Amino acid sequence: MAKESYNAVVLVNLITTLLENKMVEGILAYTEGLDKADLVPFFITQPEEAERISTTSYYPYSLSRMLRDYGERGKKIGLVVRSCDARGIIELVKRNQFDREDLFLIGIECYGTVKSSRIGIQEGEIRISEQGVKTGGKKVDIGDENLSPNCLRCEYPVPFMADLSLKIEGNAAKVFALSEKGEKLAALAGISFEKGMPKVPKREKALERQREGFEKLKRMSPEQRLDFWFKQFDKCIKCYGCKEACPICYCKDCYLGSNRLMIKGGEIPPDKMFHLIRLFHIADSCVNCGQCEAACPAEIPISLLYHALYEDLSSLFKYESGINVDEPPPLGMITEEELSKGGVDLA
Amino acid sequence: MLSFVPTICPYCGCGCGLLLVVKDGNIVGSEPWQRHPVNEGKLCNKGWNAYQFIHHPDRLKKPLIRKGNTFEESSWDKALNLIAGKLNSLKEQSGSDSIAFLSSAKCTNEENYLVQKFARAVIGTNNVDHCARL
Repeated sequence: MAKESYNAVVLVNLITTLLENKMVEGILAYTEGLDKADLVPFFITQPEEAERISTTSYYPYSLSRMLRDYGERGKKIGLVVRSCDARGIIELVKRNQFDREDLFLIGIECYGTVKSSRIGIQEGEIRISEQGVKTGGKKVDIGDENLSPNCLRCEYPVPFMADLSLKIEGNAAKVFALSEKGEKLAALAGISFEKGMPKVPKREKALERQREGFEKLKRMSPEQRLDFWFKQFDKCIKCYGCKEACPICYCKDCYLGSNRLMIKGGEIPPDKMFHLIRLFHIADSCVNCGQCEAACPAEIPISLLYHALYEDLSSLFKYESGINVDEPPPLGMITEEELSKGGVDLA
Repeated sequence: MLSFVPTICPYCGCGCGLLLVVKDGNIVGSEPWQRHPVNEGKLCNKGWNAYQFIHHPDRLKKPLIRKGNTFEESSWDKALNLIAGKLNSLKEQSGSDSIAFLSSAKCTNEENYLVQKFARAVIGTNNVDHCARL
């Protein structure tokens, strides 16, 4: 399976080298489940299993969240990550859940996830690139409506916060070593690499879509906006899917639990504070992975709310989440002076 | 060791797909199965927690027989003999229609078929209902 894609040979080589040299105990990636389009998480411990990994980037699960739920601190683990996975992992490291030294991140470029059930991919591996979508070697037009909305707004196609990143240029994968660990691995695997981040053009289209999405909210009056979101929240069936699926919600004891704070047991839809409490806890650190929205059975466009507030906070505090482990989330570090500044507006 | 095993949620009749997460031989989580046509990667609160009962210390693993206000552990043979005896005597005393059967959405189609067959053909009543008929 892995042979089908351009970065397969390089990726399998890197993973095999990591395992053979015992640099990690296992690698978390994806493999094919029951058919070509069924991608399921896969934990590889034997070098010979490396061939089975899927090297496409459209998989629907967040690996950072898999790590949060099923990983163990202190174990050396490798992960094949997209930008949102890597950023989620960095946020978990900031929250003292894992040590960055224990994790080996191999980045693959990603141009968005798509619901396989929506377009009925059966023929073969699906490939999403800046140029469009291909499945079974054929170009297909799936339209923006089938890509996850958060992915359309994503400005980070190549994970520059990983140890190594692969970028497909022409018909081959180029390797970029972003840390000493990454350089060491590429050298051990005998792969030629470049140091530092590849030059990636700014995703104007993504920024444009951000503006479109956020401005639609901002054009509403505060009352209209509140009404819009409260109507959305009324659809909530309180499945806790957004909380379960969020890589940053790491608390074992959660304020959203029944009768913990403002949330009565057995009340559906839950109090509006259900959503607002989660929003305040996450917004400054949201990595726009879209897992909350993907998990929502009521299809509330929550990733837009989180992303919009994140952008406001990000420009106010000059802070980007999921990039640097040494930069703590700004709302946790807020000063009296900053509290008195205006300009933050709940989207 | 960590593996992800596709299966169907045991809770209601919807039949959402989920992946059970098996870590070192124990089931430690459930994940929405993205490719499953019923739920398309979404789950309800029960589905997200569908793994919790499996290794729960309160889980009943043996049949219990009520003795006054307490329950006593028993063997399946003993429990089934007791049930069969009671069903027989109730049927003789008060007739077949004094008995009703409640089936469950947690069962398979085949098991539910067997329940109604047992009610109709063995006991002789049409009193069959189902917990998902809400």
